Amino acid sequence: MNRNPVHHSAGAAHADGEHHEHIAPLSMYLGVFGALAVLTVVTVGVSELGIPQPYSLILAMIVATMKASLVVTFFMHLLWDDRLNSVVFLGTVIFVAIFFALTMTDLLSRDFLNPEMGNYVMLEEDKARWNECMETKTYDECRDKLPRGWSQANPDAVDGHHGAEGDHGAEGDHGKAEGDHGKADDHGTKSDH
Amino acid sequence: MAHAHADDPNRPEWVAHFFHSKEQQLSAAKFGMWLFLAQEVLFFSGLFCAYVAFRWMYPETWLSGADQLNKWMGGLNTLILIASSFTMALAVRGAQTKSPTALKVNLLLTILFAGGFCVVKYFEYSHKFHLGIFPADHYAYEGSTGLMPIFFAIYYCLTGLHMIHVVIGIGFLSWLLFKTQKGRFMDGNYAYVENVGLYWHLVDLIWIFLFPLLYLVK
Repeated sequence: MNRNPVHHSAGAAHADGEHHEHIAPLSMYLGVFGALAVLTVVTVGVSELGIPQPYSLILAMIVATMKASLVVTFFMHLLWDDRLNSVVFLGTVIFVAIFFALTMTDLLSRDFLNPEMGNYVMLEEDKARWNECMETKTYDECRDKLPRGWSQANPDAVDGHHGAEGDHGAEGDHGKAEGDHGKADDHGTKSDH
Repeated sequence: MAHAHADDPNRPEWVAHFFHSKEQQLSAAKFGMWLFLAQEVLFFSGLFCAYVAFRWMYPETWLSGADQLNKWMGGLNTLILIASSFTMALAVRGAQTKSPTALKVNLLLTILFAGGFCVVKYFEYSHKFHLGIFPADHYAYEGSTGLMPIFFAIYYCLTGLHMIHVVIGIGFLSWLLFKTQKGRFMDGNYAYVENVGLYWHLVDLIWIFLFPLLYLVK
């Protein structure tokens, strides 16, 4: 697009033409390709070193961002293009960041705002209690066996969970941490046996 | 020919009457492509967001899920896609320098690399299907339990959607090759080549993030 349409209507299109027909030398493309290949080897190699979480993830994301920047700047010609295209691209990145930030703000604050509700994930103990109840009683009679918030927020999902993971209840005796704030961590780890 | 530019001897025939110049037409086409790419990024970001949310909720599932993926195959595919991006950039350069041979050879190489990507992905998918690793409710692999179906639902959605983009890209690249064979794009009107190139680089860009997030969790 024109940054300066008045200029164009006067018939002088040189500024825009330079943007569009920049021909980069072959050596530059080769260099970018080499850098991308090296960074790929580096990121696979680093993953073999066994760096603990979350540092390995951060490192991998830094390398991926470097690679993406190379592709966008040189292969996609943003360096020589009209700046408007860069604005579109960077605007997209900003909106993705807003999207992620809002979603994670929601997820991270649920326990804080409503401790009983957890993360919409039933603990194994809750599931066992629920399944046991449902063997003899109706759905409505068993509602109080559900974690608070679950039955109100998501009544239909319970049956799906029941069917898919019905035999995971026998976990032994690690009791549910009633009302304490370590509950969120339980969700993450306990489900992975 | 009653339009305002009919008297300009330097104005190529392919410039539409409502553009001031060929530069304006070419950069308008490119701007439109960037808007489309913006939409593509936002559209993929929904799945990436699901990845982030579920990874935060089930960190251990993610660690053991990555064990099921072959990082060497993923790494090989990363190199293949990077090479295809490189040849695509050279194809655009071929159109810029008005060299039909460079354009054709590089388009063909790009298509071959894209095909190679599909072949590697085919081996990965068929190995998983053989083991019974299907997404979500269809997950039937004995070796691991818990919330693995969620990990693989996200794995198949992300890589599958990316794969669809690769296949569509092969279609566009073949069309460019066909048109080049017929003598197109040598008159400076190579907006199609450039825009398919941008699309192809975006496919590469998405894979650059997919690969470490799915295969290199540890």
